[in-house]
Amino acid sequence: MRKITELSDEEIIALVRGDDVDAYGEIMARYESKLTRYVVYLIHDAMVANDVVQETFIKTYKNVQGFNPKYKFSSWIYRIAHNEAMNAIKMDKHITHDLDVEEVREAAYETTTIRDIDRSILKNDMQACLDSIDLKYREVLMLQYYEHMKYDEIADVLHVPPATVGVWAARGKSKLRVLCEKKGVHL
Amino acid sequence: MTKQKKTQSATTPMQQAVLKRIESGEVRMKSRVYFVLLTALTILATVAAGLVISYLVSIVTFIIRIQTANTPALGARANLSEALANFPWWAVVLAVGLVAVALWLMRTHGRMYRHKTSIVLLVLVASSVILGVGMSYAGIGHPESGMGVNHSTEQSPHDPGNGARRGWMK
Repeated sequence: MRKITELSDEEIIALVRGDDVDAYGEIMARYESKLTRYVVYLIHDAMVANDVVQETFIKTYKNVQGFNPKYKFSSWIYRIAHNEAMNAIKMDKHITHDLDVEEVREAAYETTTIRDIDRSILKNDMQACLDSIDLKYREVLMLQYYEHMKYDEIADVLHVPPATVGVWAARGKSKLRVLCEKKGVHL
Repeated sequence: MTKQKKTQSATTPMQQAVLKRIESGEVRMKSRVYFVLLTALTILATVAAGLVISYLVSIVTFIIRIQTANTPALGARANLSEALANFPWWAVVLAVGLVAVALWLMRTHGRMYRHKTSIVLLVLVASSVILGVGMSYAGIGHPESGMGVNHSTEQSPHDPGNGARRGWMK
């Protein structure tokens, strides 16, 4: 029998649905840091991000019977995190650009991830520019470049058509270029 | 594995906190039945929205057919103002409400978000319009009419407007 760490997310979720709480621990271990960095990027507050991620895990567990195993679990859990983050923003529980955010960023991004990012938007200075663009564009670019999601998966997270994701990604990059150039960062 | 061991296996305070809440019973999974009912509700709302729109379209088609009938349709024309006065506006409100609920359910609990809302709405309304026109020609959709719209617009001069006097505009 395979170890739980060797199972796919969808296989683990099948176990969780059968009341295997331990298996849910593995899911949390896999997604805690990923979701934290994603939410930190959205709301710019590491403390609130922790609450949001915790609430994401709670909601995921509550609704796990509603997950369709034919689809990707990662898109589904990111969708829940997205909703929780949007709720936090609406509730105005944010937004300070505190030091923790930078720490989380430093800790969360592996060098291999950075290496894979499109060369033209690779520079570290780009972070500041990215924070300045609209949330929807920022989110698409984050999911595309940092979480390595395809348009289809991003569409599942944001609940928009894949074509819209493509448009937002293109606009986001364009805005990013303009903003970066204004700030003296040449892409 | 005991509950305590499970909690200890969690590596971060967040994981421990979540597992603790699950193991204490504070956080429970929603049952599968809940999600099945939600799906059923989505289908039901969509079908209901389609049917109400079809019903409205069949009535509107009926009115248009009376006005544009080649035959005198005297009775039907005479009753047209009554028909308009009794137009079921409640059905319009219901249709709008059902469409909104159906679209919301489809987008939040299904995968219809992959398609533009305008396209989904267009398909729903267009199919309902086709069904409604079909219903009108087949004589369905006018409660208590007991006969098709054809009867009201194609009645003999000896029995003008018989069909139009009956039915939903009573």
